[in-house]
Amino acid sequence: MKVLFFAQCRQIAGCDNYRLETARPLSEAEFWTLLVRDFPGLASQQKTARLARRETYLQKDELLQPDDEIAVIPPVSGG
Amino acid sequence: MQVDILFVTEVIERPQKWPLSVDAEIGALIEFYGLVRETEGTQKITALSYEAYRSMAEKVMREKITALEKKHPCQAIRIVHRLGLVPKGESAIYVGIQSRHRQEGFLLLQEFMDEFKKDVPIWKSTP
Repeated sequence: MKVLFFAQCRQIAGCDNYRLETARPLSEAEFWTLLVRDFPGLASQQKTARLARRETYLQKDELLQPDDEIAVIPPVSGG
Repeated sequence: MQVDILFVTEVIERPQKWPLSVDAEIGALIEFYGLVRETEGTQKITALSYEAYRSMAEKVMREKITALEKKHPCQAIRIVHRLGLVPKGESAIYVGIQSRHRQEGFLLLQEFMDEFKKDVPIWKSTP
């Protein structure tokens, strides 16, 4: 799945997107485990960042599909 | 309701053409400018830098408006958010609303901004 990073998450990851290889759907917890494996610095964001699947915030217990585009959304501060 | 959403990288100009929608019953035009303050937390700043997940930000704003206009029917809304560097004293966001009466326009503006601050994927940082 394609993962997008914004704001402080992009700064920590050092890139604005990457491909997370998975052959099966992932729970939100599984996603974060793999993300932190690849970007240990993002562990600090897990409690505050939200995930968006195809531009919609993830619902409770919703699974992430292998062909999804997932955005890691740190706390917003526009306006 | 007519909805216009724009992202710009230059100074936000006041729209020259009103009404957005032609409606002889429009009795209120409510405008809000959100400005960059001189302090961010305890830090003195000269500017803020804004970035957005633009496609999702527009989608979320449209969803919010669709939900809110059921409670507060208005005729038109225009939202302009500036991205990139915004010097202190300048606008980061403009919201203009046209409504038949002032009450629904004020309520829509207030609730939209509350929702905007919670969920629209736009971020500020000190450059």
